Amino acid sequence: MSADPRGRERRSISEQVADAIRVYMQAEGLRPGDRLGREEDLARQFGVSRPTLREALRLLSSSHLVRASKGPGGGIFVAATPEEGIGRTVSASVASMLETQSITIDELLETRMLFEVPLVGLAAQRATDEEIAQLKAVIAEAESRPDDAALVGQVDERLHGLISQIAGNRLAAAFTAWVVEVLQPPLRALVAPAVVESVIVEQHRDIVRAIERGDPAAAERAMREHLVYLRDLVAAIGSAADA
Amino acid sequence: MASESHPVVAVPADAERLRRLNDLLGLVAERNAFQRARLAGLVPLERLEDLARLPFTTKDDLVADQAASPPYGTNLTFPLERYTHLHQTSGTTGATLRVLDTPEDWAWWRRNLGIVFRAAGVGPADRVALAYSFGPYIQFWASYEGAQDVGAMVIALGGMDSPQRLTTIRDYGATTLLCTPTYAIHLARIAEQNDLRDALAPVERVVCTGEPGASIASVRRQIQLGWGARCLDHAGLSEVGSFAYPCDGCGGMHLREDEFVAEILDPETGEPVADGETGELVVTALARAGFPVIRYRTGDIVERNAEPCGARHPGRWLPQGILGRSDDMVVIRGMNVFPSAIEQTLREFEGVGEFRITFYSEPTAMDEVKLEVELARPLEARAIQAQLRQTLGLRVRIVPLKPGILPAQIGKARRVADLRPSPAATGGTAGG
Repeated sequence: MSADPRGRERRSISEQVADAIRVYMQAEGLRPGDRLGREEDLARQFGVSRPTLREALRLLSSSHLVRASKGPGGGIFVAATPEEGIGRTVSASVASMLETQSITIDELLETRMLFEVPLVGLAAQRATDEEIAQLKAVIAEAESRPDDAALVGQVDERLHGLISQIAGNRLAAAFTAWVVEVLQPPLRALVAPAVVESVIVEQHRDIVRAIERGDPAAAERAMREHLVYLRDLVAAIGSAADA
Repeated sequence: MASESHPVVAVPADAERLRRLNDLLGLVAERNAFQRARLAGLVPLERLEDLARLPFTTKDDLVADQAASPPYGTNLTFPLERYTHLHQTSGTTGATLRVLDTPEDWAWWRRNLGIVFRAAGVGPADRVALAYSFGPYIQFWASYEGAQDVGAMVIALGGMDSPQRLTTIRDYGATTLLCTPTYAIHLARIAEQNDLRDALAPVERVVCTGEPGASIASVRRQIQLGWGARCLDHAGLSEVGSFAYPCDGCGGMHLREDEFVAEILDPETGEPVADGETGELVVTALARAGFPVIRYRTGDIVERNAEPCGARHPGRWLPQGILGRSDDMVVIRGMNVFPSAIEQTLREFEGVGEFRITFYSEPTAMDEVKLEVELARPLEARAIQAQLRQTLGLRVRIVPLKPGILPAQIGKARRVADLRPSPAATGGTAGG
């Protein structure tokens, strides 16, 4: 068994087994959907008792990395790549923080600025012709119907997801998965009375044009303007509610 | 000054104005406790220009006096039993101030508002609707009196909501509407929304006061288009009187130099500004003996204009009316900015609804301006931004909003907030 990569003291056997399975999955290049084996196989493979293995699997499953499937052909399967697992874990945490109101929408929007502004700069440097065509196809739909709130919302989600993919940094993309998975639905509902959809469409167009030109500074400016607008909308709604 | 014929106003020669000023100063220096100490040894004046030797009176002076001698203060020339009218300022721009009038002074108010109506072309055939709440505010009651002074029928719209006011205007065929420019725009919008457009039809003129704006070309155009009526402006303050009458035809207003001595001074130095420059209007009422104000700092910013109006009406012409309030003036990145100038630019665009201006500091200590604005044509946001930059040299962050999200401003508007840490004013756009 390798040394604890996190240098933490007094780790339980099951935690150590979970780490070992994680390392095994990566070393073997396993992809989501790949089968790890049955519980008893894994217990034998890692030299631990069934209960200890079960506890290790429970840890991995709560990190969204494995899932169990019952019945014939069942067993333990890879549920997500490590970065997907991180993304889902962060999303779940953000979702519970939002639910318990221990974080504000404005703080989340500020977090978005910290991530998405530099990410769009990377995207402007790295986007391929094919990716640029994809971006243009995504916004073209909303440009034809700039007042369709539902459509503009869907386009917004797809665009932000696509940009973080194009930026090509999987870890950063994982850290921002919550934007689309958690924040967008309540944010859209919150700003709906105030948002001017055609302004969003215009901001999307600016972002995509800057990426197309390969101009990171302009892309970052456009993304900042877009996110600042969302924060301004939240503030306007808040003060309208106070009045 | 140009002082040719006018149906209602004639400015006497300086010698006559000096005589009236000295009569007032002599009386109040003798009988008015507040003024006595201020004027000791300085009156009478030899020339009208010597008025500049007398101390200014500010609203703070009067408020402090009333705080020290509640509730009326000591700016009373006569015993309390001589006074018959009590009003107070709205407190839009600070503490509430009480003003008292004798029957003679109240008759003077009535005549002066009558002159506003005559200059606006209002006569016995007219029905004047006053879209006011009729609280303890002098403008409402003085207008009520003034409309009767010209023989018009007065329709008081107190205690009604906007749709009720519109149906009242329609049912009685009001020809004239008095309100703030903000409310005129609001009411026209309410008429559109409530299918009450026919209520706008009988109104021939909208006579505005209470806040700057109705002399601003873009605001006036919006009111004229909304109502299909002429838009006229006039100005007054509870502490001072009705000091400017509308210029029908040329726009803007004229100072009532027959009843007031007006100075236009640099608010910082107190020195007169040159022609073409803007300064604070400082006014001395010649006839209101019961509650006199000598060299009163109105806080209203006007441009000193030497040209007569096209019709050569008497009294200094203020083509742009009141540009803003000195207490509204905001210094941002070293520039003097009047929120009313931002409003003017905004109103040049169609489809502009309610708006709100916020001055704030970025963590980098940079002052910024945020303009939240309801836009029926949202793609004009960038055009507005460019226009503000061009006309005011000001970078403004525009937040386009769907119509209806900002609180509707209907009285004296409060559309400006200054959130910067430095001492700075917030609040409305006009004094009582």
